[in-house]
Parts: sequence; structure tokens; C-alpha cells
Amino acid sequence: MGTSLFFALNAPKDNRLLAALPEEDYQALLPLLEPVVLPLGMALYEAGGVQGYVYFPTSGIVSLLYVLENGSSAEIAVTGCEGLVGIALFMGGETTPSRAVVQSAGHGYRIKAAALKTKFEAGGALQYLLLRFTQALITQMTQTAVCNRHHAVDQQLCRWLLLSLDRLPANDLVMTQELIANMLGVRREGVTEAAGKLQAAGLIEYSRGKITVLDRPQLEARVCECYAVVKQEYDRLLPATVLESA
Amino acid sequence: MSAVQAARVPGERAVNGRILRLVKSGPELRALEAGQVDAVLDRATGTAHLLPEAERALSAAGGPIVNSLLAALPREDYRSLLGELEPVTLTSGEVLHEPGERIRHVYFPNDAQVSLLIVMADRKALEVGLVGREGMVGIALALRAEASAVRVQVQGSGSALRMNAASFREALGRSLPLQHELLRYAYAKLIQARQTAACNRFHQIEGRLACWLLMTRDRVRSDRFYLTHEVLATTLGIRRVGVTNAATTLQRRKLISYQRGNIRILDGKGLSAASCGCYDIVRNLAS
Repeated sequence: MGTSLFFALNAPKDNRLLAALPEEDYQALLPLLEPVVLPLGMALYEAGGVQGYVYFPTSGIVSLLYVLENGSSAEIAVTGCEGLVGIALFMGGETTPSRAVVQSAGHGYRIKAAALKTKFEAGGALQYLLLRFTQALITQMTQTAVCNRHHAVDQQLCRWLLLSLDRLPANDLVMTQELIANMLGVRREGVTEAAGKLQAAGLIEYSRGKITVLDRPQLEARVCECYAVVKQEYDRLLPATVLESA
Repeated sequence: MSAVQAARVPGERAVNGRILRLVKSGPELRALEAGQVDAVLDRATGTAHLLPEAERALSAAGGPIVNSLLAALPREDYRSLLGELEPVTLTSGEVLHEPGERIRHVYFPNDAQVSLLIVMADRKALEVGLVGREGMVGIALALRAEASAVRVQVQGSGSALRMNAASFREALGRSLPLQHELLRYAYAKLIQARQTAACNRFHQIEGRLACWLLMTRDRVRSDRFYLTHEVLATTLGIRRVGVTNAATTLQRRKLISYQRGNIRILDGKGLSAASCGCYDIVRNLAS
């Protein structure tokens, strides 16, 4: 795909942070943005790696995973077109603490770490948006911590489905049980049981690695409060536009 | 009450320079021990090493033992904040902020300890963070948010310096070192949140209790502290009987003693080995 066609199909402004920038700031950033394809399973970072780029997804979902020494992992947070991947860079971390993996295929733009850092240090609307996004991300991680401790696997699955759906254009998710188990950090049988419950209740349909949400309102009724807390924080913290470059 | 005056530092070069770590028998430590300087800042850990006399003078004056974030600032930046900082005493149980409320003040604890709690729909509260002299309460403001989703409650009484939100925003705007210090701290908080999420998922109660006791020790700077079963149960998100069992095991292994809420760490190394490991990870990544 040629670059111009890519731009036409996946405009940088499909990313909500980029879209929220004042036009002047956006134009200044534009020449630095490189289009990238984010195929399913691609690792943007490994834990402890050096960070070359920061990613602004325009579609798809990137999952931040905590990896244990024995190789098992759990999802700490998800990011889609509402945010960026790679905050360690401007927060002063030297390496990326988490593994970042594309959980649902999509597209996006990347920018060289050094270039973004310079823009961030200059302050203004970009810095404002990136910091507020960081606060939202901290909230999501914190809530995940609580959810992991307190809530039943089927509620966690509801949370995970809803957070994912909010970042996808349709009501379908292509997902194997194994992948979900990895994301939630639980055993496969736990996922099978939880998905079975939701299917029996008519909330989702699950067949051959594809989950279709049939009844979103019911899913929202069943989910633990963690979903609403995170969603509210994201809505509150991430404005549609920042008017001033200050 | 100016902590800067009390902790007067003639060896200013050492303070504004980037000391990576206090080396044993290094010049900084020698100067400190010889009484030539009153304090040395260890930028790597954000710790202020005070001469015993300076520390005593500060506490005798009822004044603050310097909060590490403030202590890590260049003197000029610190001095420019002093006018806005107000000493307060925080009492155990006091709630400083409810979820979603506009943040009115930021707090730099000295010897006070503050818990960050998530309040669940069933009213149960679970601790997701701990702030002591190494940190600041209200870090959301530094990330340009107006509110945060946690309840902030004092867990260990003590003193702190506080600043109102408007002054804090102004101070942040004019001091680049303050911005950098706080971003670093916010990042450490993020690392902690991430670790807690994984820890809650994967680790056993006993290891988590050990981890949490080590974190508390760092914040109170003492091997002895007071924590009821109830506080520990809330903190770890488990039932009281779970706390009893885990504490008994650690006690039987002679790592701690625990009597009616009085905790004493007997063997820090052993406790570290018994912990789930998250303590070390957070310390390494966040320093």
C-alpha cells in the first residue's frame, strides 16, 4: 500500500490524542509521523527493552503485559486509538517495563523516541495530553489490580470484552481462549467456564476463536464496577480537542 | 521552620551536582561524617542523608524531616516553594481526598504515611498505593488532571507540608526540576500500579504480606511499626484470618514478631527472600 493511500485509509487523526491537538501543533508533528501496520501478535516492546519509537494506534488494540519469570503473563492495560504506547519515554524511564503486544490487528503511526521527547519537553498541548493520558493509564492499571483480586473471572471477562469493544469498530473480537487466558492471567479452563456462562446467558456467542457480543447492555449490567471507573476516567481526562497551545 | 535553613549545606556543589550514590569512604560521606556539611542528597535514590545533629535539630524544632522529593530539588527551586508550603499534622484515619473530588491540596509527607485506596461498590476499600517521605500525595495534579479516582487516607500519623492546588500548578510551571522530579515519581507510581496488578493476580498472601511490610519499613524508616489486622486485611484485600495465618508463618520463621499490631522486622534479608519479589522489582525499576 502506498503511503498516500495509507494516510487516506488511516488518517493520523483517527488517533484521538493526535486529533485533540491544536492544528498548529498537529502540523508540526505530522512530518515526524511514520505509518505502521500493527499485525496481530506483533510485539512493539519487550520488557526491559530500549525504546526506539512511540506508537499512536489509529485502529486495533495493543495490550500491555506483565511477564513473569516463568513466562506466563497478565494484561495490565489496553490501549487503542484513544492513546499511545510507550509512555516510559517521556516519564523518564530508561527501558520499557512491560511487553506490548498487538492484541487486535490495526494500524497506527510511530514517531522516533528522541523526536517525541523533544516535542514533549517543549510543553504545550502535546505535553498536556500525554500527561493526562498517563493519569488515565495509571487509573486503568490500578483498577486492573483491584479487579484481579476481587472479582470473579466472568466479571473480569466482561470488563475485558467491554474495554476491547470500546476500541474496535464492530462487535466481533477474534480471540482464542488461550489468548484470553493469557490476557486475564487465568487458566484456560477458567476462561472456558466464564465464556460458557456468558454464552448460556445469551450475552455472547463464542465459536472457533471468534467472540461476538450479542447483548452489550446485558454485558454492561453484569460487569464489575471496574469498567465504569476506567471509562469515566478516560472520558474525563481525554478531551476531544485542546483549544490552546498552552 | 525552613528545612533548608536547618539543613544548611555549605558543600553546595555536592548538592547541586549529580551524586550517583554515596560511596563508602567517598568524599561526600567523609564530609558528612566530619561535620563539614549537614546534608548530602543521593539523587539516585532521592534520599537526603542528614547529619545526625541536623536530623535532631529538625525534629527538636518540631520541624519537618525533609521529604525526599523536596530535598532532591536545587536549593533555589526549593526556596521558592517554601513560602507556599504549610506544615500540617496528619492524623491516622483522616481522609484527605475522596474519589472524583477536585484535588485541593498536595501533600509532601515527612514522617506521615498515607494510603491510596480504591473504594469498591460494596464499600470495601483496597489499598493500591502508599505514600511516605519519598513521595507526594496528589500526583494527579502534576499529570495535569484535576481529580483522581482514589480515596486518600492517612494511615500513620505524622507531619507533612502541604500546598494548595493553585500554588502548586504555578510552582510546577516555573520549576523545571520540580516537573522532572514529579514525573519521575509519577512513573514510579505507575510501575507500582503495574506491579500490584500482577502481584494481586499471581502471588500468595504470605509473599505479598512480606513485600508490603518491607515497603512500609522503607517509608517509616524503622523496623518497628504499628499495624492492626484490620488495616493489613484491607491493604492486601484478604480476610483477617488470612492475615493471621500469613503473619504467624512469618513469625514462626523468625522473620518478624507481631503482637497486637506491633510489628517488628527481625530479619530483613530473610523477609525479602520470603517476599513475592515485587518489592525488589519496583525498587529497581523506579529508582
